[in-house]
Amino acid sequence: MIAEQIINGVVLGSMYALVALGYTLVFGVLDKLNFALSELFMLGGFVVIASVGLGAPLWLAGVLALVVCGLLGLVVEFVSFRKFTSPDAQVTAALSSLAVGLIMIDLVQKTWGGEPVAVPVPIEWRRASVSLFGMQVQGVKIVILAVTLVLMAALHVLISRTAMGRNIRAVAESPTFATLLGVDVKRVNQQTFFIASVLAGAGGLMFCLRNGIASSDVGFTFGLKALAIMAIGGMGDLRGAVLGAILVGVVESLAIQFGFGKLGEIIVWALMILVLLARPGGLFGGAHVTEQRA
Amino acid sequence: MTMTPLLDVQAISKRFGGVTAIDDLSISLVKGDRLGLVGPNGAGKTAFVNCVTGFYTLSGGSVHFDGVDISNLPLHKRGRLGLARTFQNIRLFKRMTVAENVACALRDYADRPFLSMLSFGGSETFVKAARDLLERVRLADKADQLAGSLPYGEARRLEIARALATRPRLLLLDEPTAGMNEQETQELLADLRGNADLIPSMIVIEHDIGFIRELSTRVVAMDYGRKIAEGSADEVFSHPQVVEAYLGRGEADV
Repeated sequence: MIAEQIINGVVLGSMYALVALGYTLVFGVLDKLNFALSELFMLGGFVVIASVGLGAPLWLAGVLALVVCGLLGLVVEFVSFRKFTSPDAQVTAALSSLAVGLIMIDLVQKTWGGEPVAVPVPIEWRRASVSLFGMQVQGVKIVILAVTLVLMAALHVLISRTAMGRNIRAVAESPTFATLLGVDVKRVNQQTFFIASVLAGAGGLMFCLRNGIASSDVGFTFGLKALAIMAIGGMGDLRGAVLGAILVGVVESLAIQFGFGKLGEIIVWALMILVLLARPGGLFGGAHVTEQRA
Repeated sequence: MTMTPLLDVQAISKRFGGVTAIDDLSISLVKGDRLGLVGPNGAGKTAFVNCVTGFYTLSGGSVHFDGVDISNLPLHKRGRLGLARTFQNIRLFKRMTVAENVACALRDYADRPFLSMLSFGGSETFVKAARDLLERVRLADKADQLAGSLPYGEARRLEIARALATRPRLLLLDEPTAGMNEQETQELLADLRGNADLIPSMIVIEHDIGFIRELSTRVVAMDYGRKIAEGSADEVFSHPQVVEAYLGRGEADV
């Protein structure tokens, strides 16, 4: 039973990780929080519902969800971050992105109502199971783990191997000096927002796949935990975000197993406070270097 | 026939509250010039570089680069026009490799969004361009090390290679030998000479008078934010006001 809960925890954690990676990317590059990511996570499922409603097959609906989330990420960058470039504008940009997120929630509720909506995932998908180490594991969970792994590997290659990733890392270390060398910081910001939003959307997609429903409140209840995870893992540290997410997922699942399920959300946020008290830089943090100022 | 100056700084001033860092300073140079900028600490030399490269907004006056008024141009546009600089305190992307630091500045590649996503740094022309530059500053064997792990002298050479990767038309070096011993200084001198073909024009700030003599075709001396002498190295270093600025204030350590 415990092994099963750990697997559940890793699955849960891998969904957290996608959103946390989004937050971490944006924070790493701009030193700013993009609260709209939580709601793009929420929106992923509703884009699937809308696309299927318009007659798209499920696989296409999934792809569309990622594209739409990515494009909305560009909108968020333009509306909430483009104008607020100075380091003093952190709060302004964060508030603005929070507002954009709240608008998204409201639009979803006006369209689909406040109750969870069923996502048309074939029931066999959710029933199918695979035998793993003598346990029956739902096929959906395997799919979620696989997709997450592929996305993380792709992100790793993108950031560490490609010219785009190199520019992103340069801007993350110092926008001023990257600018001086001719790196187009505006474009790097757009690329970062697009990637982060696709990741958040993918997280939302996995969430719907697992639960069979899309709900307008998951941004708050689930997506915001990515913030706690980012702090636990170490602000701006991609590896920390993944490890922190797995840790939080497993802790949450085990808490349910041992009868602390009623504590619910408290567990994650208390864990964050404890970790930060012990290690203000997060468990794996300290690598995030902000710009040296002259 | 007079040549259009490459850099034409006209009567600029920079004030911070009540403090005047630069006071009515005019300097111009033509393509091919190598200008040495000297003066005691606090004379405004770095402030001058900051004004030209766009780190400071001017309190007055104007800066033209190749006939274009760049007085109010943002940093990155000045970079793209061909201004490059190094810093007194070396500024590198410490968490990136030596080769990546140079690659960042190879503009041709940074400018193509889709190519940049698909180019895995393995594209041959790209690697070759980065490696050529590193070879020129004798860092080719350290290409895959983290820039943050380089010793001081090598970090300085990397910073210069990175500036050269932007293909500057005017390179501004802010105290490149600061903190270097005699041997490192000589090596740097040889490196700058060896790469003269990539440095069409240059302004170098230095305290090391020998370095300035070796490198510059013309010298400007500053004190209290003003120009106090201009001419050949011999003329400037024997100018009474320059001698006084250095010796009279007990800064004979130059």
